[in-house]
Amino acid sequence: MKITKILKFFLLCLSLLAILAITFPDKGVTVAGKGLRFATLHKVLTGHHGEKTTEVVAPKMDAEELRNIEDSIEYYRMLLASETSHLWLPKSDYGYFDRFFAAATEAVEKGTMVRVLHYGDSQIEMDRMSCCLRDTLQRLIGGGGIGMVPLNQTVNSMSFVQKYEGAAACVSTWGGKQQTVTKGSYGPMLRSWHVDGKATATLRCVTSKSASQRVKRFSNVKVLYNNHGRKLSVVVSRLDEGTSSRKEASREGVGMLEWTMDSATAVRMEISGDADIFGILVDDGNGVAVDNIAMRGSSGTKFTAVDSVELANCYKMINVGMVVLQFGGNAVPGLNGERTVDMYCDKIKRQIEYLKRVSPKVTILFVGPSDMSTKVGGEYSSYPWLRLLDEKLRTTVLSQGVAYWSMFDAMGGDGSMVDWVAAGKAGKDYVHFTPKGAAIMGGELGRIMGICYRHHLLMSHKNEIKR
Amino acid sequence: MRDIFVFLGDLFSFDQEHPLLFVQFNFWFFLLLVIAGLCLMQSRKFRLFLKNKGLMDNRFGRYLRRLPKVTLRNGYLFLVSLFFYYKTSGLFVMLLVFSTILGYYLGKSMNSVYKKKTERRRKMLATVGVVVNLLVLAYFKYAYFFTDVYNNMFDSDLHVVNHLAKFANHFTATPRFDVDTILLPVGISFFTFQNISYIVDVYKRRIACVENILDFGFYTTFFPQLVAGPIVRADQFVPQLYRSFFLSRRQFGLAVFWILNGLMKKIVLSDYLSVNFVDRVFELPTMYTGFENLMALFVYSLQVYADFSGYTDIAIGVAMLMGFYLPQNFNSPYKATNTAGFWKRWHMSLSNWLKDYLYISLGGNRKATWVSYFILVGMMLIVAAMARKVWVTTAVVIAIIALVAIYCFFPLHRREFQTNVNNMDTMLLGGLWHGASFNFITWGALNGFGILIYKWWKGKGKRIRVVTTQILFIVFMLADLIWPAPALKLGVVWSGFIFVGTALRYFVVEPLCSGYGRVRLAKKIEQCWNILQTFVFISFTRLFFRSGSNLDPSEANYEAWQTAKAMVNQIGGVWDWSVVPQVCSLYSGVFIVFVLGMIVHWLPDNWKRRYRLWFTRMPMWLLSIIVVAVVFVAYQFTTSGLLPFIYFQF
Repeated sequence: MKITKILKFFLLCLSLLAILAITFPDKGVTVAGKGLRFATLHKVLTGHHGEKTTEVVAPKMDAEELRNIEDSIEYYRMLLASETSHLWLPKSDYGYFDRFFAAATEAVEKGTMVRVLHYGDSQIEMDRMSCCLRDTLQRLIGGGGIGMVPLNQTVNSMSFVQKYEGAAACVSTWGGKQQTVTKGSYGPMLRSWHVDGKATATLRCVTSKSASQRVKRFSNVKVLYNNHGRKLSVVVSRLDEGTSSRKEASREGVGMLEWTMDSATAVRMEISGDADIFGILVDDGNGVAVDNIAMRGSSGTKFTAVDSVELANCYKMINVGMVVLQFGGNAVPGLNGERTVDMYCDKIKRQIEYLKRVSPKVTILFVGPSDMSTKVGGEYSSYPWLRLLDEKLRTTVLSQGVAYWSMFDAMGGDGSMVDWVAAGKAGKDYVHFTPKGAAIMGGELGRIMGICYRHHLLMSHKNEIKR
Repeated sequence: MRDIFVFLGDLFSFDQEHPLLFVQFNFWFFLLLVIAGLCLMQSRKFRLFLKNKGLMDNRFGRYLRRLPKVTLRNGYLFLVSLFFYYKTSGLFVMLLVFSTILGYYLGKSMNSVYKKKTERRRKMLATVGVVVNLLVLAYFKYAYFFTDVYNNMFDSDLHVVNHLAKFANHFTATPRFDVDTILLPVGISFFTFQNISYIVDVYKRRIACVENILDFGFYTTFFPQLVAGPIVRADQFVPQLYRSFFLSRRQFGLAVFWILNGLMKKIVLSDYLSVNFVDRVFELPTMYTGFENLMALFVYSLQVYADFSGYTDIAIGVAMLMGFYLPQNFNSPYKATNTAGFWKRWHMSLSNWLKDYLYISLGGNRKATWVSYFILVGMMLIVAAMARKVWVTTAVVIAIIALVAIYCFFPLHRREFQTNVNNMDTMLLGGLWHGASFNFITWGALNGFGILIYKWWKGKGKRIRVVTTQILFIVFMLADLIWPAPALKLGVVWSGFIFVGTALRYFVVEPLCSGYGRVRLAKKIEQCWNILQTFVFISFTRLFFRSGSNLDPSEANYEAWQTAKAMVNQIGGVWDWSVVPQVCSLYSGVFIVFVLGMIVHWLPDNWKRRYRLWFTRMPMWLLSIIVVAVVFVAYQFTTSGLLPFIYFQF
């Protein structure tokens, strides 16, 4: 066979394909309910030139201008107000986070801890994003340790190692299987473990180089519980030293058992009795603790299921200074019109009202959903109601006097998820961040909080001088 | 018109994000141009045209006229291949040119008649060739790995520095290249191995050296197999350099078949399964249930096969269209009944390369040299250094003591022991060849153990097999009771699986099928069971393979291990069986494609041969319609971003 014949064959095939590309309808055809499509000639020839690239953009300003106002309050206000911050403060109040920062500074001075409860859906699972927020706040203000962890961590954290043995029944406000115990007794993690008998939990810091030094040791361990008047005793043994100490619940209802130790890396807890365990607090030093509370599948509408008195007690006991709510993603696939968006926003409004009622002094930050893509005609594009949801959530949250950070815009807006997946920053489900992407987003959130903190410092400094 | 200019601009410029892939239209247009070039070279009219225009009268023209026709063709394909590599890897094409020149001159220098004096020089030249090639590979592929090992051993915080980039920046007086990262040139593992094979073959006088650099350049850079194999051995390919183009009508049909087969495997099976299921689970294993994680392992097994063998099929087809024959790389690997058999069917060109140039060089089944022990102990020490766990270090020390004890106190089994050491070395280095991380060593070690255990197992009788599997099962059960851990739970399930299979075979299948005519049935059942067992084992080892893939080399060790650990925890953890029907319905498309893919894979060889033959006999017009139909069907499965081939990263 001559090679010219091969060339002719090639030309024939390419010509047929070109004809098909020209004649096939751009929007495809539907045969027996299945959509068929084919590339257009334009797409074949221009290939990736039609692609849009998005990335997190750092603010660009004239360097000289910036240098002139670098240390001034105005500079930070400009940063916060700039399009690249994606932060909306209620009534443009730049001092919105001041109460939290003041509490944190006071905690450092008094040798205590103030907590940031980072509630979120699967996007923050494994301590993703929270770890960056924790690292930034603890670096700027002080503090250490992994924060509050559940008795049994069903999804491994990348910042902490936990093992659990025992038969504690878990009850949570979200997820498919809900078991109801004492009405509304879920605790601040919206999930509790009812121990009736014996349970053992092992807590160990990670040794990996990539983890922050601040979570590689702890000096304080607390167990938050509600014993409903029944007996509870906990033995904490240090695995690195071999020492152990036993404590018994002395008060009825919500309480906390506490152990202090010097630079521990691993402990084992033997719990016996009959009580609801809300969480274990693993802290180090004084300052800020950031707790990762991942609620897979939740759209953040079940805070109202927790008993308000109990929740208020818990918040007070563990000294909650700020609550970060990162939800919306799980609601997105179910949205099919403006009405459903409004309904979801209304539910969120009720949660914020409830949290404000439970703990009026707590600062709340709402983090909106990330971009999410779905396949339409073989191509991935953002969910149709996502942009509207982001906008309506922002309006709702701001009307409640709560700050809003748009993760959707921070990612790059419409269609950015496709680029994030291509860059390995999001998973192939076009919904979740990879650890790399979560680190970028968490870092961005941390950066914004850092700006707010610096603004707070300058304002405090200015007020002191005035005085 | 503007679109056409954009297209041509894309075709001839380098864009790191968009290399030439077999699954893109750009590649097929490129191939069309290459074939058009080959047609012109064979055309008398064209030569006459050049002559009449006086274009062949200059010095270069006269040089070209003196060259044999095949060399001219090879030279053309050499240049085309360099362009192809430039499109894939940019300036790394210089590395390929360096490697080609080095191989060519070493080959020429070694091509002398046998004399005692020259033998020493030849040996030195061959050593230089092998060492330089390995150093190039080590620099680009293993710099991060070695740095990580060093940092782990000495608790230091060293970082990789790209000295080549530093030198280039200094030379060009611009900070053009990033000195903090070392990028991996695409296909480096393949072309360095190909060069080593040439140097060793010339040294061992298996082949004569290639006299013309254009011929040699073509051999080392032939574009269909350049970036992901199959690894072409000099003794197989060099003779083809001197043959004129020949392709029968049936071979042409076969070439088209391989190309279409490869495209379907890549797009319909590999990309579809990858994007819609496998990648999702491996990226965030903890987000998925134990059942999904387990299914991801099985589906990945088919995906990686479809991806790599799809690439090979297209490479074979494309080479065949130009009149060249590449070696077979896969022979339905999931039909293997044991791990050793699997490696005779999977990535055959690499397995044969490792056998001929590593296993036999280490001593094969005759002896073991100090190098054999050095590699094995070295690997174990690396594992201990990377793990930094007391129990791993203890296990390594015990293993080393056991090795010494077996060597010293069992002289009758020494030869068998040495063969096993060489086998293990080959698998460990084979693992490391795939990727520079702890995971790939684990993957290689698991496969090595699989082969050694099979070798031991096949010589044992019924009772020993049943008792051994039973003991193994009990040991895992007890261990899991004392130290409950997901990995041990997996051990319980796996050993139980083998134990039940073995017991059923001897106590149920064999007695039931002992009658006349039923023995064949028993053998068939046994074969199916063995195939299933091997597939499950190979799929499990892939957990470490896939976790270690597509990672930033500076974080590969940590990330890969974390993913593998998370998957083991999910699979070995508590399963919520109620979600299984939900998962099956959610991923029904994926599971249907998976099952269909496996069915096609397991079709008997003679069936496959028959439909291939039937295809090759089709008239040209029908072939062209089938091509269009296949492209149309494949397009329905494409995702917005076409995925590169998995083996590009190696």
